[in-house]
Amino acid sequence: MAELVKDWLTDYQRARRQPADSEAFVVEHETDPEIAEAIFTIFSERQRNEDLVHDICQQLLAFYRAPELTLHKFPLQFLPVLIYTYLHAVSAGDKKASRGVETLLICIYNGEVSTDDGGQKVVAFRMPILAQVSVYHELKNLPMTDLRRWEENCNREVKWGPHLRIESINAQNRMRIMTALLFCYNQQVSLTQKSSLLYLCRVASQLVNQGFTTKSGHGHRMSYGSDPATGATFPKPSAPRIPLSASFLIELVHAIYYAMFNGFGTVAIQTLEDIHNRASYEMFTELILVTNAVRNSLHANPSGQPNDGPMGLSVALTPATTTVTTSVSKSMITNASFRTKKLPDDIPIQVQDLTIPQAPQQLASVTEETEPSAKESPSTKESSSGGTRTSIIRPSMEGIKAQAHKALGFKKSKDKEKEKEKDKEPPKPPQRKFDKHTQRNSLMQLQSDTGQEYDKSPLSVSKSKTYDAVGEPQATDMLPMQTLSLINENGSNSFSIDSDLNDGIANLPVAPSLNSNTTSITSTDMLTKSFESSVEMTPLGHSNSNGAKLTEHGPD
Amino acid sequence: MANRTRTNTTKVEALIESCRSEGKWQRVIELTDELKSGSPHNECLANFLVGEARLESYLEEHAVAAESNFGRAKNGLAEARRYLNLALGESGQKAGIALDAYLLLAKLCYACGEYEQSLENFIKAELNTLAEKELTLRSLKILAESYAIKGLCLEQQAYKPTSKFKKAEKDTEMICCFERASDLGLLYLQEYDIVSGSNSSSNNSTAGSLLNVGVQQSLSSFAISSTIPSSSVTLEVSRRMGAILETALQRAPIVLIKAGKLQAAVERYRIMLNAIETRATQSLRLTLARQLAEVLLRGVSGTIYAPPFTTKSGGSTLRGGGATKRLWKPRKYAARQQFTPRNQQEEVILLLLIAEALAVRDTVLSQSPEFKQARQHAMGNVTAVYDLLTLATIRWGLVQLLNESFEKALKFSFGEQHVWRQYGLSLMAAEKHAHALRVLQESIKLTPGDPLPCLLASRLCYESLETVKQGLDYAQQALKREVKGLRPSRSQLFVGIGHQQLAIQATLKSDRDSYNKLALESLERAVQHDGNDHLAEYYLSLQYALLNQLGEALSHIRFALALRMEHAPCLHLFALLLTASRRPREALGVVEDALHEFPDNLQLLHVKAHLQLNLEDAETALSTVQHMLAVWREVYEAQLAGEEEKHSDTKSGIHLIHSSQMSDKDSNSVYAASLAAVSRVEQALSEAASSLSSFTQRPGPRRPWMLQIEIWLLLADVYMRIDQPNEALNCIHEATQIYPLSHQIMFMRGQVHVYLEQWLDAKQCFLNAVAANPNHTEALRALGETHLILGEPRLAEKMLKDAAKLDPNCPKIWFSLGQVMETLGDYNSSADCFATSLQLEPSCPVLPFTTIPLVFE
Repeated sequence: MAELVKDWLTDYQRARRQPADSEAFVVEHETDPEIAEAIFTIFSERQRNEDLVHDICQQLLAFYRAPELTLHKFPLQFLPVLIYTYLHAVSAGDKKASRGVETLLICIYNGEVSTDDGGQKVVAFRMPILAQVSVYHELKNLPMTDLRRWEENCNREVKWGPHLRIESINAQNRMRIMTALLFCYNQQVSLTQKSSLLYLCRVASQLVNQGFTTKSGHGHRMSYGSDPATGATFPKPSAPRIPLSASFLIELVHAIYYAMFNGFGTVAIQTLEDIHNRASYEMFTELILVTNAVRNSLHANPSGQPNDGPMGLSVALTPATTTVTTSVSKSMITNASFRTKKLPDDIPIQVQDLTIPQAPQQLASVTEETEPSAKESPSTKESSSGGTRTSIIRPSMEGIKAQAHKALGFKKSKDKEKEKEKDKEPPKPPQRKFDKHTQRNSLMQLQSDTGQEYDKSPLSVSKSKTYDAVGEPQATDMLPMQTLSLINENGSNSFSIDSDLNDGIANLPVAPSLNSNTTSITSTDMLTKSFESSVEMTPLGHSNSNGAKLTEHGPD
Repeated sequence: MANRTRTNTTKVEALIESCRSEGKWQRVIELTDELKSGSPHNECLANFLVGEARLESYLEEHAVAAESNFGRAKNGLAEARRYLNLALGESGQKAGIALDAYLLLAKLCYACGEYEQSLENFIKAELNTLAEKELTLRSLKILAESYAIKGLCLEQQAYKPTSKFKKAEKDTEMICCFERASDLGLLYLQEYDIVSGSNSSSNNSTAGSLLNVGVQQSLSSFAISSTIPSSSVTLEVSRRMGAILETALQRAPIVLIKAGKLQAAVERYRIMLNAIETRATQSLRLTLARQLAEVLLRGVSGTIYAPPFTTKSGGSTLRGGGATKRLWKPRKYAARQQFTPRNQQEEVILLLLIAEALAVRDTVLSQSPEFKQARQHAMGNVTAVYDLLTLATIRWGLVQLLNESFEKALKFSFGEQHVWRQYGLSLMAAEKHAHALRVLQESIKLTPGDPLPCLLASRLCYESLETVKQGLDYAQQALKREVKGLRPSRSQLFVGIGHQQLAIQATLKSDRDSYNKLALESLERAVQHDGNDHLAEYYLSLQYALLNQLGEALSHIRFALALRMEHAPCLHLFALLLTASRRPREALGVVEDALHEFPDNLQLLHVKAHLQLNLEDAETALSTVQHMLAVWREVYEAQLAGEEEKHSDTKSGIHLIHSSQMSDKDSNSVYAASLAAVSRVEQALSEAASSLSSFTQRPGPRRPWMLQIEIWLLLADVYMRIDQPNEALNCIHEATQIYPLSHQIMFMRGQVHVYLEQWLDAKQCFLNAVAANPNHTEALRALGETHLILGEPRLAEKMLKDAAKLDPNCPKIWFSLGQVMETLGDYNSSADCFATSLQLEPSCPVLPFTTIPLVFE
């Protein structure tokens, strides 16, 4: 090894004297993987090769200053080793021996924090936010709360740097400089030889573990109390712990993370463990956050382990196809079941909507997700289609609705509902009793409804809607949530908790297997209508006939 | 309006087609009987349909391509195979269904594990030569799946090409298959959404093309009839995609990575994510977004990164004939003012934010046991995203973002120890101390065997919340949890620190003695447990110093320094110990050396100023203090300016620049608030002060401003030494501007009055100071002395005795007390006091040992 490195040193010396050779040297150097290997070996046995280490550092410095890009980048792959060598020497109080390394590190640092034209280098990026559409997402399918998040941070810049150049390293700026160097290493890490990653892991383990082995340290306890006052030389532990900072170790974790998924899984995981232990010992909260995250992602899929595939990626199929049966998923509450949204700012808008008579045949085209532009119309369609069915639900959910509306602050809702019931039979005067009639009506409707659904299932349901249907047992617990849940989605009304709730309950007595969707529309519709006066008589008439038409078409 | 011809067959065919596209295979079989009975020449078509239906319904019930199932699949699919084979032949060609039949047969073979045969069928179907054209929904799916299966077959094929060239060729073909499969698959899902979204009774014109097909036009003989409302509600969303397509979509970039084409893989991910989402792709998009983020974090370092969609060339990877208007490509997101990532960080964080929103939405809140599996799956998805987000953001100091994420996560994270712990840690990192403690308490409950959260809670209590007793409880809890004895020294050390702090705070002598004893014991044990821990040695040394056992203290501080040479608090304590051993010159040397390594350390500068004041002339001290002010400005002004925006994110810029100072900024108090009571009084007073109309609170955290006050007061002290009381008053005025109600300011003002011999004013100032902080021994002593001068020796005696009780090691108090006793004529007591003072004087440090702030690193 030493021979190889010596040749390398002399070759370059010679090459530099003759520019013609220099080019050849560069080319040859680029293709020779052994030399880096040899240098790593020298560094790991540096006690035996102190002079050589010094020469290597000088040559690396010359490389770093060389105009040829390959030579210029070459020293960067040794940064972790150099940093370890330096920090080890410093912690052992042997700064003199590390002068060569120190100079090299200072030069690389000053070079890396400067731009080519001598300014200060800044790595900056804009903070992305969800409120702005991107090439990867649209606004309509994400929850409002997520979109709002960090809105104020629109395109705020997050920066690394600028860093001042330095002349010397002291205890105060040491870790900061090492952190910056490691950051630069991480920027370049995918250009380095793969084998250097192994040395990275080893060196990282040494950095964090040194001085932590159980046996060491008991040696100097022997001299305890012997004669402390004299201030005689104290026996030093053979390898004292190396002081490290959290941000330095975070950069180190990033480097290790790269190694982990680029061929050195086992070693890197062990190193990560070491870093985590050190982090816990020193209680570096930010570092523990990161190491915890990486460790957890290794334990718990689906993030994948290094050996799962290239970069730990593997195919993760949705289990829904096999495991979750539909009946289970129906009563399951997911986060999507909740929509904390504001009350509509402007209620009368909907009145206007409903006055527009809708083409009855569009009943089947209610799709929330694919038709953003048609946002307004579905609601009206829903309402027109649902009108006929309200009466089924009424008896079982009157109480809950009243409660819900009280919670929502619509005192008059009950009255309005009554009005609406009356609206069922337009010609009748408002005072008339019509309970019997409603009941009869509802039975008829029940038949037609179920038949229709079994055969045709006219409505396509989005996933979220399916989840929206809240099962019976939960329903009672959920009542307090109603206050959150009245929704105004982009100005049009859509599904809210209580409507889901209601249909959850409403479904049960009527037909347990009945798809919840149709009824959910109905109840939403009722809610909508309760905001309004009796203007919507005309559409109701339409929907009535529409329903009838559908039943005719049903068995088709 | 072709199907208005009302022939029975066409109606049935239309129905069949719609059932096919919805996957109602049972119904297809039923209808096929009708079809057959309707007209016998449909025999071949019927065979095809039955075969297809059997195949698909079998595959819906059984997982595809699980090795163990091949045998069973062969049996189960025999019937389907027979029918499909029947559909091939001459008549099949004529009916234009042979191609479809071959493709389905290939699928069938794949399900049985017969990869070679599957590939042969693809060759027969001439899959490679198909031209891009409009397709019906079902055909689109068949085609997409066919490409997927071909890719999968090629991948699993046993035969390995020998030559390098062949291998590359095969890889290219496989990759091409996966890419096409992913494009077509996404297109299919998009079409599906459109069809199921827009089918209304009026739109049925396409049905006319039925059976009107020649061979070259013949991918499928059926067009979709959308007469009938198509979406079955019971249809699982995911079934629309199916395992084969989902696998292919995820597989496409993975095979690219395997082939070493990292950039192409990244590009593939981007294309898939750029496609307009559909209802069926929700979870797929989550997976893809997460995986792309993973690829970027794991495999792409800054220099080789290429931002997405820089070349607006359209379908950048596939060479599918740019001229045709990309019929087989999925539609992309198109909106004005799209955010397009320009660098790696932007892309990673954007992807993770999207993934988070998607994952969070699907998390399961139901706690009942039947949902356990679904809940864990969703939880796994969301924690995977959180973990990546942690990795991506912490480096940039974006703790605040993480914080918010975890806060939202609590809703569905009941009993999830990982989320709770991460939340607690992120709060700690974001310096929301009290909140963090609450969360850590939960974390302690969730991981009953782990000492770490206890230790963290303990540190919070000691360092930030100043509830030492509580902190001690946590430390003891941590110690109990150290059963494995991995590193019990830290818990032991924290117990020691707690006892030590309690001893310092204790006002009763008996309490103090017992705490001191306990502290000494635990610290000794901590040192025994971990002989390499400089911090344990440091605290042990400090304990000895506080007990006035300076020899022991010196020996332990030397151990500490041997373990870590460059440790500012150790050097600080060492210097103080030297002054207490009558070696002030050496102490000054130590401090000056230490300042070479820590030029911005205000504590060390403070000690230096004091030493200079006593050893050299006041002028040098003056320049030191002025230097302190400059340092303060350099270190904290940027931080305070940064505070303005800190609430939204972080000290990112400063984070790295001043990380060395930042780490100890909280403990960087010149007069350490060693008495918890003191700082709580300060807190209360500062709140009171902020209610004063004339006073405006300075922006930012309190600590740096308190530091500045301390520097001003030190400066005032120095000015008085050089007989410039007016300058001193100016300094005090400056300090008052920051925060008027500090007892230290009051005390210093009193000192100026003493200097000016304005005794009544001085007394009032000292009274104020003592009122603000009854434990301030210096104010008590000064008050006593003022009382004495004003001829009130009884009051003086009271004050000085109080002071001596609080700080029995201060020779000055004893000396003043001696004077008072002398005035009172109690000469015996007076002599005792003077003797005590004399005895204490040599071992009195230039500043109390308690001025060294708590340190944890």
